[in-house]
Amino acid sequence: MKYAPLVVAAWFAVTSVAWAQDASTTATTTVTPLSTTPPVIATPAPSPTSDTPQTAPSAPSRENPASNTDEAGLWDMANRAEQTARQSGELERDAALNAYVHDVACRVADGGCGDIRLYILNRPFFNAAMAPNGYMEVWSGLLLRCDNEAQLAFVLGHEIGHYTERHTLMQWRTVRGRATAGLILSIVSAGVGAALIGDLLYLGALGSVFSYSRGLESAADTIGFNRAVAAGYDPQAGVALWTILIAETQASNDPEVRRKETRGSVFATHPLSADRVAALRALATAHAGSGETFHERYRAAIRPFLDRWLREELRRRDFGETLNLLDRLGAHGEDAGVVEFYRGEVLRIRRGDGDRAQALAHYTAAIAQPDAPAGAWEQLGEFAQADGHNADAANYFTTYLAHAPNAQDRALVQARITQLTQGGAQ
Amino acid sequence: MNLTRRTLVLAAAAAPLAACATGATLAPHGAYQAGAIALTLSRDWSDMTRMLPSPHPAGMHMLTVNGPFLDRLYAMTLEPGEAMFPPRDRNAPRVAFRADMTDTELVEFVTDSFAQAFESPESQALRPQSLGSTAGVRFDIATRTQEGLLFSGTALVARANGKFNGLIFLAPTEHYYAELLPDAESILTSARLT
Repeated sequence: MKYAPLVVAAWFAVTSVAWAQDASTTATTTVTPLSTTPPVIATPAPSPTSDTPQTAPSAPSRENPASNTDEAGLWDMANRAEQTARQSGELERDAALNAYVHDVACRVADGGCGDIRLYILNRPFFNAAMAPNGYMEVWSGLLLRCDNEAQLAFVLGHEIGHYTERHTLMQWRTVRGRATAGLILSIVSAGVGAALIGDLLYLGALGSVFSYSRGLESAADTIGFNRAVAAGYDPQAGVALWTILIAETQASNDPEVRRKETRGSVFATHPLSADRVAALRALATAHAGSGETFHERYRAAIRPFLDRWLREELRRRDFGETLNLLDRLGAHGEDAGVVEFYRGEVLRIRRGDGDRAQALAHYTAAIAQPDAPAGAWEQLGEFAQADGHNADAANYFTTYLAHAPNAQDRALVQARITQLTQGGAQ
Repeated sequence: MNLTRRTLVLAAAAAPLAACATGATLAPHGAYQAGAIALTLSRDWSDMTRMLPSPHPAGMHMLTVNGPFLDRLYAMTLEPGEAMFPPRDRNAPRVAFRADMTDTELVEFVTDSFAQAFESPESQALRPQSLGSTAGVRFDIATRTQEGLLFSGTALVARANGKFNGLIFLAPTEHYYAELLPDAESILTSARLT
C-alpha cells in the first residue's frame, strides 16, 4: 500500500534492465551545475537576517539528460518519485512551513534556488534527499530533530552537495548490477510497503543498498559546511547535529539500531562515523568567524507541528530515542507544556519500573505550563481514578473537557465523570 | 545489514502480495469464531487469515468481501505483550497490548498499531459500547493511505480476562465503507466473548 518511498529509493538504487545503459555512457546535455563546491570559508559571512530568501528563485540550471544516457533513467525515476510525492498522503501542505524550509534551502543554494523543488513529508525519521532532477524531500523527523536553522541549513547544504557533485549518478554507476538493487525494483513495481513499515523499509533500502560511500558523505559534509557558513550560519552547526544524532541512536531501545550506529535508524541513508564528525569539527575549529544559529526563528517555525510530530514519533515506540529527543527539545525551556506532556506519555506507555510515578510528575509539571496539551489533564484523571481519588479524577476529567470541548472521546469521558460523581467508579 | 539479511527483509515485505494468489477460504454467512470472539456473518466473506504476513498473532483473523485493499474486517483476541503487526525482528520496538490498559489506551493501541499500515490514523467519536456482555469502547477511524486515499473505519474493543478483543472494519471512504458498513455493524452487534 505504501510503496512511494521505495520508488524514491529506487532512484538511487535503479538498475533495471530497461535502464541498463552502458556504464560508460554519460550525459550529453549541456549542464550548468548549481555550483561547484564552494571554497572553505575563512572569514565571517553576512548573517541571513532577512525574512525572505537571500537568493531569489532562479531558473533551473539543469536540463533533461539525453534519453540514451544512463542519467536519463535516474531522472525518469526521480520524476516519478516526485509525482508520487505530490499526491502523497504524507505530504505536508502547510504553506508557512514549506515557505520557511524552502527559504533556508535557497539561502544555502548559492544562486541555484531555481533548481530546488522541495517537499516536506510527514515521516517520523531523520532523513532528507535531493534527486538529480532537483526534487528534494525533507522528512518531518528531521525538522523535529534539528535544534536550529543553522543545523537545517547544514543538512540542506549537504544534500545540495550530493546534487551539485552528481553523487547519485556516481554511486549508481558503482552499484548497478547488484542483485539487491534489482530486488528493490521488483518490490517497487509490486507496490509493497505500509506506513511506518514502509518508511523503515525505505530507510533500510537506502541505508543498506545504496548509502553513499563514506567518501561521498564526507565530501557532502564539507560542501554543506561551506554553503551554510557562506550563508552566515554557525560553523558548529554540522558537528553539533551529527553529535546529537549519534547520541540519540545510542539511546535507542533497539539493539540493532544501537549496533549499527545511525544506519537504519534516524539517518539511514547517511551513515555517520566518528571520522566524519571529527572532520567537521576540524573545519569548524579552523573557521575564523562565527555565525548565527537562528534557534528562536527555527523553533517558531516548527512549534505549530510539535504536538502532531511528537505523537507520530511516539508511535515508533522507541522510547529511548524519543526521551533523548525530548531532552533536546526541552533544553532551552521552550514549549515546556508539550515537552513535559510527551515525557509523561512515553513513560505511561513504557510502563517500566518507576515510570508511573515519573509520568505522573511530568503530567503535573505539564499542566503548570500555558501550552500544556489537554491530554495532560485526562491522563491525570486516569491516574487519580486508578488510585481511588475519584473526586480528583472527576475534576481532572472535567478540566480536560473544558480545555478540549470537541474532544473525540467526550462521550466516553463524560460517562466516566458521571460514574465517578455518582459513586459508581470501577 | 548484510546481503542475506537485507534480502530476507525485502522478501518478507513482499510476502503479503505473493500470498494473494492462494490462501483465501470462504467464510459463509453464519457463525464465525475469531479467538475468543464468536460472531455472526450476515453474508459470505472471504477469510484471508491464512494470508496474513508472518509473523502475526495466532488470535488475529482477517475477512474481506471485495479484497483487502477495498475492505477488511479484523477480528482478534490478543495476549498481553502481543502486537497486531509485529516486526520480524523480535528485538525491534513494537506497539504491544498490555493487560492493564485503560479504555482510551485500548483505542490508542488500535490507532498506533494501524499507524504501521496507514497514515496518521485518528480515532473519532469514542463511546461506551459492550462487546456482548463485556464493557467496551466503540469508535470510528479516519486515516489515509500513503498515496492519499481516504479510509474510514469503525471498531469495537474490549478487555476481558487480561486479553484484548477487537473488531475493526476498514474500507476506502469513497463507496466501499458505506456499502459494507451495515454488514460490519451487524457483525459488531452480534459479537460475543466465549
